[in-house]
Amino acid sequence: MCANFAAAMTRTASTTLSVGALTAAASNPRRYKLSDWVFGAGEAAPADGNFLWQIQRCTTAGTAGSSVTPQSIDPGDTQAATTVCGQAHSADPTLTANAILASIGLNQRASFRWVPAPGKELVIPATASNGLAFRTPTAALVTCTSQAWFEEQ
Amino acid sequence: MLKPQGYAIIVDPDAPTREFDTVTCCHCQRIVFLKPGAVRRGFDAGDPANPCPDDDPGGFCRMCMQPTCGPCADKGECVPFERKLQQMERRDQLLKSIGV
Repeated sequence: MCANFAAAMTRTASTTLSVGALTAAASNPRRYKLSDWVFGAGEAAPADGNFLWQIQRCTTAGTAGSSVTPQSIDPGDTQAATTVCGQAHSADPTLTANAILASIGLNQRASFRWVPAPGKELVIPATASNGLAFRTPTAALVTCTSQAWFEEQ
Repeated sequence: MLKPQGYAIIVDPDAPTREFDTVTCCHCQRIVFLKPGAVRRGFDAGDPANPCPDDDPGGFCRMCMQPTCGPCADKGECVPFERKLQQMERRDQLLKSIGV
């Protein structure tokens, strides 16, 4: 039975550093699937600002400012020890060139949600520290949040 | 779209809510946003070098019988993403087995 988790990553938007990253653990990695993704600048005061949001594959976890503990959706599931989630990176994950899975421009006031059809989720290999980085390569300097739901395989 | 592979919603207080069907590239998993209409049009802003990101709906792989993104369609080869996953995992296993 697959376990489902939720993780929210927040930072003051940076054009060079990721909002957060969701990677397979260095030991005992397992595949996981991104099953829902929401982002926006919900904690910032309403204002106009140009945001480009991206999901890009990465091969290291980078140095996170703080770690995020993924919360299990079913309290009966154990915590996601096979995945690592970090936010507000000070050293960015090693990004895989051209492996940008999603890219969308938004106003700071707007929020975005993407839900894949069953079986069409974004899959992360069971490879140590490989995963997804949530980025704002073009952004106003306001607090932004990326909320991800994922399924451990 | 008859069988979308995903759904995207943009909620903006200053604009009408926008909703898109999406497809996921079967070769690289890039998400392609599709515009409504009888003709398949989309936008794939994931490729900064794409000269026409506003109207690139990608292609279709007749080996996988699944849609692909524009850059993968341009490559003209079929490497299913599942095979790429296996290659990544085997490489990691090899590196661990030789102590790297």
